[in-house]
Amino acid sequence: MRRALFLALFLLTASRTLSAETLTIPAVTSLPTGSAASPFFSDVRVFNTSYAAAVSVTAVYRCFLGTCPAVAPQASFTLAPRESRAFDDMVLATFNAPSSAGAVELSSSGSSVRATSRLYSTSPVPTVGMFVPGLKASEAHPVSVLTSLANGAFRTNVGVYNGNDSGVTVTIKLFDGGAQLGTHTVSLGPRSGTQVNRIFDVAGQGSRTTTNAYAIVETGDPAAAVFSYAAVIDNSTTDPILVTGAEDQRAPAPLSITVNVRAWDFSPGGPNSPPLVLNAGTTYSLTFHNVDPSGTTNPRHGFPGISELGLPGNDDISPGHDFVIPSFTPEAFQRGTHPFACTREDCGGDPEQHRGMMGAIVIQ
Amino acid sequence: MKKLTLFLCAFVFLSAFLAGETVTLPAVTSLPVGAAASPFFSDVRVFNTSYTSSVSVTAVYRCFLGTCPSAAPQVAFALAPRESRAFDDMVFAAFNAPSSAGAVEFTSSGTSVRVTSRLYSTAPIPTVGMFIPGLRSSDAHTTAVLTSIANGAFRTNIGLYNGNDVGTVATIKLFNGSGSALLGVQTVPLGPRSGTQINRIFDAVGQGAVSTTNAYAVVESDGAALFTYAAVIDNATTDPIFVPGAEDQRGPAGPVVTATPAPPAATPTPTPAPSAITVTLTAQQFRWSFNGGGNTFTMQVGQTYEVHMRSLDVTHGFPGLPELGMAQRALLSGAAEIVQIVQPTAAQVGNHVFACDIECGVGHGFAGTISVAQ
Repeated sequence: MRRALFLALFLLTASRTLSAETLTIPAVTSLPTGSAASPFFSDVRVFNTSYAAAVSVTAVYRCFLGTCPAVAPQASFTLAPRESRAFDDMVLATFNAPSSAGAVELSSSGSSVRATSRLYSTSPVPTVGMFVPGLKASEAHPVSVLTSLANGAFRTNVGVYNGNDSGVTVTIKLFDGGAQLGTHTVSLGPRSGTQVNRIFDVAGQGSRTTTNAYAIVETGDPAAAVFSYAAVIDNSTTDPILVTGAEDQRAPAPLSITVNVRAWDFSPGGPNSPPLVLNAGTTYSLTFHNVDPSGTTNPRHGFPGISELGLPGNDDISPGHDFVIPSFTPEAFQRGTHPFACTREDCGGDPEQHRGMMGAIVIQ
Repeated sequence: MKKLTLFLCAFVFLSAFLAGETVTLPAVTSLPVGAAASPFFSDVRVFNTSYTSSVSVTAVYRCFLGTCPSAAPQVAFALAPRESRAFDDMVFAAFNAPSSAGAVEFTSSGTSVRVTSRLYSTAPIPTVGMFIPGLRSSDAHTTAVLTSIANGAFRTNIGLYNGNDVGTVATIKLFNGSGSALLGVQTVPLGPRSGTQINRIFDAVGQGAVSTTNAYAVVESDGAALFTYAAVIDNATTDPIFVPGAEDQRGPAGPVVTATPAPPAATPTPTPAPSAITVTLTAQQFRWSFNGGGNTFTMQVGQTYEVHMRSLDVTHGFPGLPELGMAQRALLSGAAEIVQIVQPTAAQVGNHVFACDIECGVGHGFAGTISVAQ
């Protein structure tokens, strides 16, 4: 028993010592003047923390934007103990890939290598830039959140890099003030990535002004982890900051609720049935389903939507026409009673009864 | 045996689940126009990743530079599930501590809180800034390395925050990366839950003329894990980047010190040479005073002097006089004296001017002089 324990400990120690580590710089570029609205470059530093041993490093450029080489360029080098190696404008000088952008993977044996970089622009003012760290594999997540996002005086680009050997689908969800502004889905090949520029424009919210938005980056495969970042850029100076994705929780599956609609009642909702009671913080899928008995005159009803809850409306809840709100998460500040009324004056063939067809959603 | 194992597993799991977590922003500030050479502010965002539970958060401002409140200000708030709370200019708006800088500790139960911030300047161009992440305790290290450090067209400030309940002493070693040449050493005492920022680290170690974009610094403590960072600033635009300290290996023992670090405040006053002359050097808004008088003091070549330095009000900074073997020191508000020993030589004859290097208010930058005479 004791021998087995020692063997296991030895193997664990040896595997940690011998295992290779890959650091990923998720955003590097070389965009000279004239090839883009603003020139951008990446200066990279690679450091060996060992006092005793040199370390061999292989750097692979995973290009996915701009003019990419047909084959991923790579460079191998050896760092002496305590050496810091400078790679100025690495994408051009080391990988000969001008007018392109992507990620760099730095692989080495052991865990003694550290990588840092600055991605910067030389225009309109020389220079403004952002720190882009070399990230460990543990800093890739299946679900990550990017906070401190802004639009208006700022713009925000969201980037994702898939360092896995198989492709993955990634969904970016943009939120502000608790409301989901939009969703954008991208397919990423193996060892590839993308950058979605002006994410608010992409979400159809380009005119929104905010400095407190956030985005969730989720992979379709819960086992696949990706690196995510946001570049939040001051529009007047083009000065960016790089927000790295922090581990987030996967949203629970929505709780499905069917609201049966008939002349002249929403069940649940009212007026004859009890109100529809929802809990703040819980995500719901709401289906408005017509249950008028056959022979009902004008078996068509409507839900007006509730703007303060961000709920849309629909004028055609009739047999065969369900109205579905796929995802709704009430927030704490929305607690209270929110009344609504049927929007179809001729529903059930009796306008007077229709006028009494009023319900309520209670957020508790 | 099996029961014991199960008990231990359950204990470890429960303690990890129930334990509170503290996320630390190691650098925040509120320096309005006029309080410093450039105005700087920190906009902070705090986010709750939980979909089901609110979380209570206590934010404590650990001020250690500038005009610090006498007690650490704090705010408590609750975050609803998936709420992102904005704290613009947090040091001023939430903690009412203008013209100061420090760290913020966010403590909550569980591990659902994420913190991000932008520290930015509005001059000379509005705005340039840097991302500062909220760091977990595992991001503090007893030995850390800061790479991508530059001087010349850039300048570099190095910051440290001690989130422990006991004081410590940290040593900063600055190297030129291309040849691993040791450029200089700074030793700084850090009180509990306190920190410092050494501005222009190359100047502080007497290497202000060095031009490099590939230097690195090693920050070693006497055993306490510290949060460390470098702010590398483009001199033309004042645009900074924030380099967080990465875990490093402890160097082999050996005499590597080139500068003369003074003893930390926590250590006993060193025994002076028999003929040493004691000199007091006090800082207060906004003047230096030698022995309670003027801001100039004359030392004689060959004579040993024991210089006792302290602040009489807010935190000030003695920038160091490396040519006299005097190290840079933060003179913390209310802290004990810091003592440095000086024995001038003939090669040091002349005037040695120094100025407060920690933002302390509208008159910051006041100067003093040590003259060395034959």
